[in-house]
Amino acid sequence: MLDQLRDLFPGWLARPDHYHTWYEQMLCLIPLLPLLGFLINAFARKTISRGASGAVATLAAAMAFGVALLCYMACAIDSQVATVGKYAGMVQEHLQSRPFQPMHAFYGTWLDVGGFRANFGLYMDELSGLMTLVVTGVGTLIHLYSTGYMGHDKSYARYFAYLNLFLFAMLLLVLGDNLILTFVGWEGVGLCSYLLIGFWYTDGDKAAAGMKAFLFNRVGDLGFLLGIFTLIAVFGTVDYVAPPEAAQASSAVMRVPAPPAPKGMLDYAANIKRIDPNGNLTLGQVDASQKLDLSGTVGKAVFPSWSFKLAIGLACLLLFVGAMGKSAQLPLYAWLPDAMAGPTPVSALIHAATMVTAGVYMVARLHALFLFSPHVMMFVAFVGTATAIFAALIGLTQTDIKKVLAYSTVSQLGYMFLAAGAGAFSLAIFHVVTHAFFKALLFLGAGSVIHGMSDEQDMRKMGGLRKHMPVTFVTMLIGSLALAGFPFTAGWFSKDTILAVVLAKSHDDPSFGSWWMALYGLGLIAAFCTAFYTFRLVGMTFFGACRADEKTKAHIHESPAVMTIPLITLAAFALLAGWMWHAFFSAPHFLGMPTPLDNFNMNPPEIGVEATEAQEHWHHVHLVNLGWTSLAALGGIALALVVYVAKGFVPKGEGGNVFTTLSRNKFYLEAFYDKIVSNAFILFAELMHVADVLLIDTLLVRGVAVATRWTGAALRSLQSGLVNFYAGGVLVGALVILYLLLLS
Amino acid sequence: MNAWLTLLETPADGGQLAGLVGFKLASCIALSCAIFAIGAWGVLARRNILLMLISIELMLNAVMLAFVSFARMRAGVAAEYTAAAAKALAEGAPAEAIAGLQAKSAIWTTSGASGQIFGLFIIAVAAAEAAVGLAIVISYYRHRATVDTRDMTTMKF
Repeated sequence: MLDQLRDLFPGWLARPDHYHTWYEQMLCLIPLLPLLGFLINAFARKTISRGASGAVATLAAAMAFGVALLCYMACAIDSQVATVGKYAGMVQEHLQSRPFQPMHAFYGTWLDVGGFRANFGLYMDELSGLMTLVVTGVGTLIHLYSTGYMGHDKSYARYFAYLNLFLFAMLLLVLGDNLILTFVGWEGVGLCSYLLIGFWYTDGDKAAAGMKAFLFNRVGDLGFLLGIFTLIAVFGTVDYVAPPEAAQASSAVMRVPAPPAPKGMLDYAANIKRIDPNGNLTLGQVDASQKLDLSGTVGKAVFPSWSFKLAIGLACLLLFVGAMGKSAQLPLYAWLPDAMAGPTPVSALIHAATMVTAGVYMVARLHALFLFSPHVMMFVAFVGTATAIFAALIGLTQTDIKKVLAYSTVSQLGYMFLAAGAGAFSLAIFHVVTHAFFKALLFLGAGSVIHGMSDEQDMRKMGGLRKHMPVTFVTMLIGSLALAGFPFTAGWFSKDTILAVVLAKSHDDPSFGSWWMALYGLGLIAAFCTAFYTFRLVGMTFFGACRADEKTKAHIHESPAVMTIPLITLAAFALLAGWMWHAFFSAPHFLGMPTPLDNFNMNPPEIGVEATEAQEHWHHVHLVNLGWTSLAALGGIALALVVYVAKGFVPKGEGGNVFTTLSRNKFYLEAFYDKIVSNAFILFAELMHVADVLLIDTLLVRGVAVATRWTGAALRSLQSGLVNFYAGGVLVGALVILYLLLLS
Repeated sequence: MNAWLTLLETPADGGQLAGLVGFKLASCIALSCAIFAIGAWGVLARRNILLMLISIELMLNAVMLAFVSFARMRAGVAAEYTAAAAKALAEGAPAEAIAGLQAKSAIWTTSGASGQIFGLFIIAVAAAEAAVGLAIVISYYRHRATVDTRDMTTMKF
């Protein structure tokens, strides 16, 4: 029976000897359950009841989370069982080196063209597994919250259809085992983002915001696509890791001659450990190309070795352009603040917790390639820092509660790219995870406030809400503390360690040392601004006297339980998620990625063992950084509390000094886009229109017609109608044939 | 071209049997070519459709003359081989030699016959062609009252 099944579905039951094969086959349920929810809600949109619509969508997300949790645990438990069985006595060592057994499920070949192959395959390792858990977990909570928040909306089923479709695309992005599949998910989340930003499409501004998001993402996606093409030229494959044996078996069954790629892209870089043979690690001094075995790649035969490295760097740069668009980095950030036109739960899920972190995820996924090109890494760090400080400065003067959080998201994404650029990929992901919790919490809290305030978003018309909405107040306070980096909250663990790594690099990176110091300084200022604008938001919303009109004031209420339960759950995570720092720092290769902390094991040295010099150094750096960041966070909080709580300052939204004007007008960058870039494009389009009329319409289209007519006029004199003339043609033809036959 | 001329001047087998064929192949082919050329000139130059048909008949007959000339040449060669085989038999030559001569005789006979058959075909085809062609011409004349090709140009653009 099993054998017959295996013949029918080559990918099915491919590794019956393996402990978690069944879980591996269950991987496909994770994206398919939300897809099913989407189909139900999309096709039964007219008939389905409101309760059923929300229940189907929420259940689909919750079940996807359940399956993801099962698979993740199977990966972890399996490896431990295998370890105990195979390496009794060496358990500790083995668990530390690889505490996770990745799953790679293969469901068939998608494209098989001229030696190039793309599969339908899902891959769950530490990185994608963690992202899957975050996406489905936060996604479930936000679905639940949405059933309450969207309760009065008439397009209820359409909303949940989009939300489920988004989950499907995002999970495909995260779990796809090759870049093409990731790109499908990448475009899918972009589409859902567009649909949900313009959800209330009868409002012209909101529909325009959706289009703006789509257009900005197109710019980035072009870079992403070109990056994929470059990687195909270099490696001849888009697989992250080699496809399982099942893929090769299926090729034989289908009689497809294309040989499966023996290695995935990351396999070529598998031996980069950033640790030299002596066990010492020096930040930023790795010449990755020397440790790289590139034999067997397609590009090896084509590119000379020096350009090979350049090609990988170029691919990374192009892929990062894609990440800039999706993750709203300078200069492609401008769509994200406008994306707040969508429903608030959407802002929480898509534009704070998950989709916008796709760029960070992609960079972490391909970290082995980015390690080849230190200059691209440096560029990533620069862009990240610039975005972090730029958005934080704009956030200082925003009065729309969601805009503050939007700029905060842009700023925090900048931190993530700073971490990635510094080589601390696992820290970037750590910040993605903690940020997902506290930023989703803040957005949902803001949604709760907006819901209670009868859709008012201007903080100048709020105030004193802590008495009316105690649950929202407490949970948002927790989220704000985490965002501000208050000690022992989730944001403190992730953000401060990122800055500590940057400070450590300023000592250890010989080529860019002083640059890192500059980035550290800017990062500190951004941290200060973060703390300030966060507590400005808290102060203006929850403290002081209520500034709303009488009608709104009478209607203020705490949100229903379906909205507060997600708030409380997320608040718990925002408080406690930071404590999993141990997993991110101590294991040498958590998430399967080398980290700069590899050698700076933060565990206290065992008794009787002296700390190494590197450990001493790391502790020193970390303590110095701790002082500075605490100063920035507490200073920012204190200043905001003084200005907005003690003094009750309410910004007027106009006037002020040069700095506030600049900040309020977003440093005129968007005005620059509107005036210069748009007009340049329109000018270019006009030019192209003229070219179209002259070149295409006149020369090519009409030209072909005229040339045909002239040729016809010239040739038609041959058709005299005189039969003797035609007979002469026959004779001449016969003579020519005879001549050729006899003389050849 | 040299091979072609050789064929005109002398029969096959390099002229070894030339004296035995009994007629001048070259003059027959020259006559055939002349008739063909006259016919071709008639088709091209004449404007009277009847005369063009007659010219076509001339060309057909020129081709037929060429066919039967070559057939006659081959029949002569075959007769020589038959005579040689009879002589060899009378002189008591080895059986293989006699068989070889008889085989050659058979080959030349058969290939010569095909030329004559083609001649008959051409007569039949020419008769059919003349019948159909003349019928068309007569029909055309009844409608248009002309047999001049210069007036038959309605098919031009």
